[in-house]
Amino acid sequence: MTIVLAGQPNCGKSTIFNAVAGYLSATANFPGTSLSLTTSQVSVAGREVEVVDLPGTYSLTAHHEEAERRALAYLCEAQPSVIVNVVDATRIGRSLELTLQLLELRRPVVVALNMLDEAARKGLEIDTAALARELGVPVVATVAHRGTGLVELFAAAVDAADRGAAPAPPRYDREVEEAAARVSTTLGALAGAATLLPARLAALKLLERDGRVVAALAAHGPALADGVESVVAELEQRRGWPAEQVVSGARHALAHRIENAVIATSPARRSRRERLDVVLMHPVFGLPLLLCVLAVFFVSVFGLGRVLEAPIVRAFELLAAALGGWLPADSAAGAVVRGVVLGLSGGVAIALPYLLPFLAGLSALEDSGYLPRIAYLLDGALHRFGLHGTSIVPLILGYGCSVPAVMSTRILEHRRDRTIAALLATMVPCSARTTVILGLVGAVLGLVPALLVYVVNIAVVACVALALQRRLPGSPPGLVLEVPDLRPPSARTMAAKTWLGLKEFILVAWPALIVASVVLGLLEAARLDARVNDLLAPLTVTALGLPPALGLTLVFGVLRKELALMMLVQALGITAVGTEALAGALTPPQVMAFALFVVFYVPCIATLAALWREAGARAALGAAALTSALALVIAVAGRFVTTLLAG
Amino acid sequence: MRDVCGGKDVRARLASMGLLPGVVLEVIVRGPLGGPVLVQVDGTRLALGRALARKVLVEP
Repeated sequence: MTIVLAGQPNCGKSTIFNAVAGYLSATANFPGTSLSLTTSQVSVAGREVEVVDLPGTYSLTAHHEEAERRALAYLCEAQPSVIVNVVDATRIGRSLELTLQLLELRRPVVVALNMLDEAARKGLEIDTAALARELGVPVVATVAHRGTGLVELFAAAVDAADRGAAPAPPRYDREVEEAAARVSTTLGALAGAATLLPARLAALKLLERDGRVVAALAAHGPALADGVESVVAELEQRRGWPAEQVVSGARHALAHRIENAVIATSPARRSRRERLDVVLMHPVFGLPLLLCVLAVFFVSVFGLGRVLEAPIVRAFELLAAALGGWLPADSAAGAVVRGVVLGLSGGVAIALPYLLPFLAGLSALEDSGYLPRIAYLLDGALHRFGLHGTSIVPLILGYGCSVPAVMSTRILEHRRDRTIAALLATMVPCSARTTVILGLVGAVLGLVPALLVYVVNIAVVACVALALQRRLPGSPPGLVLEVPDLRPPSARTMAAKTWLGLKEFILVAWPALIVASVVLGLLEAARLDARVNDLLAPLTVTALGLPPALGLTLVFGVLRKELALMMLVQALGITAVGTEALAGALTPPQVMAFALFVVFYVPCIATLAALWREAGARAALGAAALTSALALVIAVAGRFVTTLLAG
Repeated sequence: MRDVCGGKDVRARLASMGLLPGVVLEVIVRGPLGGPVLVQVDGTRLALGRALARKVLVEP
């Protein structure tokens, strides 16, 4: 049995999915986060079912939106047992437009009326029984982020799947229905069979001049398409609008009629939170406020990091001491293991204190709904750098991790925009690089130099954007972005997301660190490390002024950026744990040069792979080359500027 | 809102977000530096890039 979750973006669909499947789906009040299908085997109401979370889609009129195409394709091909349509109770009118399209699919449907707490806050009273009557399907009330109503929802879904009854398709106005009937009797069935759509839905899509369906019909004979065209032309003539607008208008009208029938009270007052937007997004105050928010963010993350450093370092010191006691001091194996232990404890002790608050802060920012507002505020400025509209989404996501940022470029229509955005998204410091910036520059040199690194990074990204925009001309699309309601971040979601990020760090970065440490230990034992470092010396020593031992850490950094930082401890042979030890081993110009180089050079392997997949081999290799060259120039500049300032 | 002065793709994009002829739009605020316009349609807030916003024809 397959249960599919479908709904518009920001309706809480992924929250519901995570509640049953465990935290697998990324949830953020931000487009581009739910782009791919997520599935999970779950035990629901005592049965083993497959639950599928579809990308959030506003509608199924699959034009050029990737998410819509995929959702529709999946629904047609997979023939799910039941579709659970998650509806945001605060915007029923708009949500129903998707619901009505889902009803046309002739599969069992259950509606989850979600975010009822928000609706109550806005003074909306919704008659769920009336809604169920109007739609002809069960409606279950839920408050997903509290977990309310989910048991009943899935019980209803399983029940609907068992009964297998397809709901009656919605009835639009007379003219549209007549036109659809005229088309569907013969032609809709033909087109539908070819495109896996039910006859009536295919007929409606033919009326809407949906390219894919029309082509499928034309394959059976051009005369058939002409037959449809005459019906369409007549409809247009009678209504005075292009046919696709007539159909979508009819759907819109029905959705709103239903909405008015089921909502008891509509508020006229604007709540405090809505009025907040006038201030937050203000043409004059908006940007300064954004800077304040970001400043608070960084200062808090950094401050918390400082506070956490001491206890974490202490814990790892104890661990290192305990493990050290077990090992024989003189054997080669002992040396390697000791190297590993030191590397692991030193590395983690430097990275973890800053990673943890950063993940928590980022999740709070995501959950609150401020991220789309950042996109809004920066759009005007970004225009000057040839970046328009939704191109900013991958850039903002890049501050978390480059891999989902690159994947999110799929929300952009044109290849050119996707390539540019993907490249720029990898240049922005991901959480791993933030760990390096805060844990190294911040801890050793102070918060201001660390922030300076971010500023330099943004300046460089802007210049690259300008340069790219000249080399690859084209006009990017305008911004159309839904700005969801502001809400205080839910502690539960924040905890879940922070844990998710932390889990990734523990499950991927630690083993990588252990392997890298072992390799380094072996290389040291075989005296090969010096050979590699000598090879890299022109870069590390001459250009960057770093101790030669750092050559290998840069190599490891290609695997995962945090490794560059975390392996510093082992590479420099530091026996103490914590950043004071680093401060002793490296001079300020060295710290700056190293950090700048790590932030800019080659994206980590995972990101390169994502770039290769999304934008092609040329883009990936180009990115590697460009970023490395940039890294060199900037790091050298950083070295000399810091020397000047420090001296 | 009266109409959209654009091709099929633009219409479809806007329509899927709820911007259809006949709906009531409320402009909430304009963004900084020539940035997008924040409009409210039917309980939903949308940010529309300036260039795109200019294509949406409205009457008060």
